[in-house]
Amino acid sequence: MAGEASAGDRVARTLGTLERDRATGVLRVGGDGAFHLDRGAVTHAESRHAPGPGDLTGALGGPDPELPALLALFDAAYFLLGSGAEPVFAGGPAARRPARRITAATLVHERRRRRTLLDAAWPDDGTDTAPVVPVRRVRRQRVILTGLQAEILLNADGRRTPAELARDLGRTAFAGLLAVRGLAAAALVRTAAGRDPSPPPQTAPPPETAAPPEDGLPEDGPPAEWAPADHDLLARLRAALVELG
Amino acid sequence: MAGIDDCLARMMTIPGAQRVTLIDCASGLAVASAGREDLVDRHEDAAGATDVVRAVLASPALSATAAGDDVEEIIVCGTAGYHLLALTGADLDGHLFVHLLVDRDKGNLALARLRLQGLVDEMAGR
Repeated sequence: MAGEASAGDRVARTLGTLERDRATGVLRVGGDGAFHLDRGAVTHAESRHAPGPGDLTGALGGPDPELPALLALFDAAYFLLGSGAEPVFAGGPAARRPARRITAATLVHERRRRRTLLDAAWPDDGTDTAPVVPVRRVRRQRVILTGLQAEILLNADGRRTPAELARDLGRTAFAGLLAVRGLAAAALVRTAAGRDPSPPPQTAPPPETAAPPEDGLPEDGPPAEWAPADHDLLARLRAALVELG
Repeated sequence: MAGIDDCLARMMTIPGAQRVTLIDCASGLAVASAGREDLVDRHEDAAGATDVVRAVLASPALSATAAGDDVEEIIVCGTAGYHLLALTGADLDGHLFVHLLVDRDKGNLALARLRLQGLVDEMAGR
């Protein structure tokens, strides 16, 4: 938590500095994505974890292209502001005609609010980056799902993460994270109870490490450590070896 | 940009309309708004209204059929005004809803509902 706060702060601080300088150009956040700035304001953001406006347009329909663009911007900013990567700014002409101008403070506030929403649904962020694996048995007579939660359970293949499923379903990545946290709270997806309790500080690990093992059962790896030594057995082994010698 | 802002401007012409906000249901983000801002911060307003929508959608007690029917609209009647929460339905993939506050003395609930539904349909491209 503290690690992520400081890592995210660095991106937020850089964004704040660029806002004061009324900078125009592109702020790259490692390989995670970039903010596009126009005279200090954010006009566009893209993250490899979040769908682009085009991915959302199919589901959103409607006559106004501004809507998916705005949702995609906040969605990408959520992941970029939590990234541990080094932000690097390159000045240049504004790449796009700025239809919207969002301040750094708005993006930081919105990210904090969204984290609170996620933690209220289910306080463990392990489900955000792990592949979604529905449980086999439901130990209740009745369950209530949102439409997106149903779509996620119907489309989960044990490999795709919440953000990947959301992109394929034409939803924002945040909507996917929130839906899966709700599913975890309802005990409808497997959670990483047996896994490393302290996940890496990034919002999401690189895809190589996020991919589950081939059998699609990410939790059934070999045991993490040897069983404690059986002293009786060791003594008998030693006696047998002495006899052989 | 004209599409949504134009729709919100027309929603504000509904008799008694005080404020209208378009909200992303997944995040509670206020996507666009029009009208008076002095009552509450529009972002807090949006987050609170989203809690109401989520609670209603998750409640089987507020369903009209055993299988669960779709919720189109939630109405909260205060002594001074009506809150209309109109869900945009499947065309916008359940992404968004409109929160309209109507003054109780200057407005008419039935008229506001009819006009709002028409404008929401228009916004969804129906």
